[in-house]
Amino acid sequence: MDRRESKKTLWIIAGVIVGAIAIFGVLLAIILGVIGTDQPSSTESNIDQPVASKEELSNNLVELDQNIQRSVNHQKAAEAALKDDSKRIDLGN
Amino acid sequence: MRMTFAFMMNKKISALAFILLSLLMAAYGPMAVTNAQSAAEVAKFKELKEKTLKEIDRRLERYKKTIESLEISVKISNAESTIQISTDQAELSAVKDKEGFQGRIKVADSLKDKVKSYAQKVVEQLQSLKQQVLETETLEGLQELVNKVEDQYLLTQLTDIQGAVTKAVESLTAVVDKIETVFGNLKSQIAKMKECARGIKNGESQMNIDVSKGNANVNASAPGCNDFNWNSADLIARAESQMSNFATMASTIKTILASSLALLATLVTSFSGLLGGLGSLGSLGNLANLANIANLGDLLGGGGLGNLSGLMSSFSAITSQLGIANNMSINALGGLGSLGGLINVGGLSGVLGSLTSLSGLGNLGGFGL
Repeated sequence: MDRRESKKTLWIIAGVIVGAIAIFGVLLAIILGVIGTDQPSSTESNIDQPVASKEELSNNLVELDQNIQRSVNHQKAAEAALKDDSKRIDLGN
Repeated sequence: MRMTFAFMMNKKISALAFILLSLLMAAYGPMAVTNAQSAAEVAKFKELKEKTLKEIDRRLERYKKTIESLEISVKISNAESTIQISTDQAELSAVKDKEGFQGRIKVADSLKDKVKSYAQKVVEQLQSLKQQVLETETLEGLQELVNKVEDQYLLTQLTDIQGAVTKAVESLTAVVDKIETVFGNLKSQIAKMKECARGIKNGESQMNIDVSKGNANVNASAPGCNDFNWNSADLIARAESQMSNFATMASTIKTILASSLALLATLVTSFSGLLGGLGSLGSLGNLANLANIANLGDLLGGGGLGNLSGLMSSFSAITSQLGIANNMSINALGGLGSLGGLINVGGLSGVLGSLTSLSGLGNLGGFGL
């Protein structure tokens, strides 16, 4: 009799464990499902970010142009420095 | 008889005069030669001094120009997330994803200061050498100074090249920074455009598409719609496709910049080490005392000159890379500007027309705009 009782208890415990796992699995699936739903793309998420005005864009393009001009000039200056040997005055040594 | 006597007397006087003249020539001849030699030496001294001073002034002018350029710093936005490479830390450490390096690249102040300080020391020692040349009064003394001017050329010139390349790299950081800013501006505009399209979808606005001509007309009732120049139904798709191309281009330019900066930092460290090997003086002290180092040529004679030539080649390689990056930047500017003009009402044609970098670019059709 005692043996049958203990077997019953064992089955109950096993049932509770399986049930808990099932509930946990469902919850996990729900959570993952929520995360996995359509997320805004990186571009769409920019909607919340301040949108650049046309003036801002225009000014930044002009500044980019100026920066490029300076960069080109400095790159040419570096090239000239590398070729400085040709401008040396011969001191007869 | 009298005539014979007179003739004899004349002959004797002539002979005497000839002997006297010969004696005079024998006595003063070497003196005249010495005077002529001395005049030639004075002329040579004068000419050499003038040429030496001219060469020193030429170098000073160039080196000072480089220092002036280094004194102006470029503006980098979003300073909190900059990636810096200093002389002590030559390695580049940055996060890179599909959109390129995260964070803006900046030339470390410590690296720039070191390069500038070297250039200033070179100018100081050249000025000291110039003073010595001005004060010297003997040809031997002048020749000794001329030897120093010649011997130290490679070293001082390399210092100037280092400064010029550092400035060129720094200028490119400003270009890359601004490309990223403009890219962000356009990205936000396209996002706004999508918002407008969603408004149309939700029935807040209407879009009329003339399929036969491929034109689209949007009324202004949807949020943000009045800011755009809807000239075709697939404008968003085209704009996003172009943005993807620009992202790749910007990433490539940034990668070139990062590798150039990393190499520059390594070269500055190598050059510093090489200077430290010249005599027992400290590295900067060596540059300041170049005018007093008599055997600089000997010191550089071993591995020194080879090392300097190696550094020169590496600086040359960086400069070439910067040239490529600048050309790519000009293309990116053209493309970004055209895309800006394409999606905005009224376009940016006026601005695009004023961009001097684009004057030699010609057709921007390569961007499909």
